Amino acid sequence: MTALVLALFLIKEEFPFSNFPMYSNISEEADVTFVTDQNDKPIAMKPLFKTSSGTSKKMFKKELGTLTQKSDRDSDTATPQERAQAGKAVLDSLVTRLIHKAVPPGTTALRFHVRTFRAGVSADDSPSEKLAEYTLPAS
Amino acid sequence: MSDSPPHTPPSKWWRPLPFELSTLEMFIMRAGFAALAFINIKWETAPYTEQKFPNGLARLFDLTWLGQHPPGANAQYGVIAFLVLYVVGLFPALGLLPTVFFATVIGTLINSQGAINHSWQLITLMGLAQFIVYAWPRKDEKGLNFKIALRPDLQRHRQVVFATLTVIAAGYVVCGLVKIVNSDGLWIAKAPFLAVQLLKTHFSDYYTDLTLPPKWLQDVTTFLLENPNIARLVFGGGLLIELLGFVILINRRWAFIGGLAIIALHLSISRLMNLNFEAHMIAVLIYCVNIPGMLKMWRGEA
Repeated sequence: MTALVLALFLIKEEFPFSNFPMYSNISEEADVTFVTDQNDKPIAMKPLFKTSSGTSKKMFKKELGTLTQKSDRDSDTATPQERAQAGKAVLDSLVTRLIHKAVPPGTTALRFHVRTFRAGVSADDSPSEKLAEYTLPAS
Repeated sequence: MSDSPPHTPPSKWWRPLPFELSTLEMFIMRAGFAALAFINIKWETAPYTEQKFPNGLARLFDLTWLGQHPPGANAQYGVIAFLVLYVVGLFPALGLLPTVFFATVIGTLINSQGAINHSWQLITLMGLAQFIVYAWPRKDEKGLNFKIALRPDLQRHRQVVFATLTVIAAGYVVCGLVKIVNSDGLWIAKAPFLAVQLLKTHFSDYYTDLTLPPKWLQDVTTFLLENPNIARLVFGGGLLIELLGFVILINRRWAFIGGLAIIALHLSISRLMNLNFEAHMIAVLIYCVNIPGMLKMWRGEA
């Protein structure tokens, strides 16, 4: 078992191997990504893209990390432009899976946002930032 | 792989040995695992037509053909037919092969989209471990005996269950270990900030399907931040269960106790954070709690 523990620890995330690092580095803040309509009203992501907010957040972090790695920086230091670029990449990817009949009537655009929760700050006071927008083709 | 005799000396905690499980217990385990492994495969691969961030085998092979040609009903019936071989114990390595193949390639493709999902690794590794042990020839006085792969005996089935338990134990121990390493040893100290993660997971669910976060959420997160030592005690208990995951290898009784502790951990995470690991719980229920073997466990049998 010790050998397997060591192997999993060293190989890290190479499916099907994993060191299961969920919540291993606890931060004082946490992000959530979500999609809204043109009026910033949230739209459920599951029926829309068959994916979850959590998965879209991981995709966003991966895109952001790829962008900031180019200049050898951590994704925590990303500029608003880089966040917007990463958000656009995720939204573009999600839109390829869009289930059109799940789009609420009257929706003309989809917006991708990130919302940050911080220790000691209530949920109501946690700010969100619009990252990207996709205009739906007129049907 | 050398085999030890069926009736082995008592297992020591530092040198655990396969449990003396009965044919019926292991038949039920195979039936349960076959169903779990099949259901755990995400057969709907149509949305995954690219692998933008290759992971695992996708670094070597293009797996997007799975997105273009998702495995249909016939392929899935074929996998089930092979699983019947595995369950009845006839050439089980072959019976498990299609399941292990699809679990690995589909899991790899989905985890190559930029988001790593942790629902499938443990079950896939359990299947891979079983496949390897079932396929491994036995070394005897005449050399390598490959017939054991065709019709495994009681001893080989027990070794397979032990390999499966080893994967479960290693999975939980490494999960605890990585928490200590990644946090520079400060995981317990920082545990109160998991309150922020509670907010995150519930709001993540809200944005997924518009299920409103529970009313107690804000009160609980505030309480955890204002009472950091209680938070450390609660979350520290979970870390201890992970780090002590190896106890499930000692004997039936420890497997039962450790299994119940792991299930309790998952149920509490499920209740508190809305993070559900049903497949892990069912795997632990099958192999650690082992309901058909509870009487033997109670009697203290090996």
